[in-house]
Amino acid sequence: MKLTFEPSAGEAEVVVRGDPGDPEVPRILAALQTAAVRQGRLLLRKAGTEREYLLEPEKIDYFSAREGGVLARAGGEDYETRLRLYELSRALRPQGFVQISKGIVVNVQAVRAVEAEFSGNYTALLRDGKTRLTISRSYMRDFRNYVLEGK
Amino acid sequence: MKKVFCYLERGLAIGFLVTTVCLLLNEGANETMRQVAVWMVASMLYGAVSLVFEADAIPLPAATALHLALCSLVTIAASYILGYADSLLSLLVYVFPTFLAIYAVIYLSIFLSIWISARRMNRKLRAR
Repeated sequence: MKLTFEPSAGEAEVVVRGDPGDPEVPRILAALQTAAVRQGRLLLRKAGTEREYLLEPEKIDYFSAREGGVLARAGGEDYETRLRLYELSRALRPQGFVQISKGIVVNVQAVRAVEAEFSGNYTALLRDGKTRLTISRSYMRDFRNYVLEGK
Repeated sequence: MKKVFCYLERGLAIGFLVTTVCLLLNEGANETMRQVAVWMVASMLYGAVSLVFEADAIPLPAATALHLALCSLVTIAASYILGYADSLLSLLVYVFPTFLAIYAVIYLSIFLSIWISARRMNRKLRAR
């Protein structure tokens, strides 16, 4: 394996070049993921590309589970993560991530407002002003306790 | 204190069940014991029907309507078995509207509490 450092201005960028079939590549990515998590960041792949980014959790609006994996929504873009929803929910709870339905974990800091619906559900309106997420009845108590009491 | 009430509730439920069975076995099914046994079974069914509120897939109004319908049926059946009225129709006419009025009040109370909860949360979210 070759390690090269190219000095440049601007944000640090890590580029991993290799054969996707090479077992060394996922090992390197896993090591980067671990290092990123230790620094309080997440290693996420931009959806539809092979580029991976280190993101601070506060930049992420929510995670949603879908067939084949979990997507993170940040800055209007989708990113893929290798972690499962329950792992993210557990690991990022201290940073304000709360599960609001079977398939969604939301960043409470990204919630602008909550609306009560006649159906008995709540809708969370996110900071982008457009995204609306349904908070299921069974997850509502936990979300409410987190918002009101921080626990 | 919460734990105390939890255990009191548990004792009440189990004690009531055991006492009813023992009295039925010892005293036989006289009129009073018949009523106690039937309403005990009805109470268990009301509890079981309440599981409908655990299903997120069912919207609250639908869950409430289902709960209303099933609990009305249980009440009508229990009342009929105990001979509270001459016919099922007269029970239906009496029980169902009463349940409808009670559930309308319950549902409005639930919605009001949801709305108040949303306001409290929004105050906290705005204050960040």
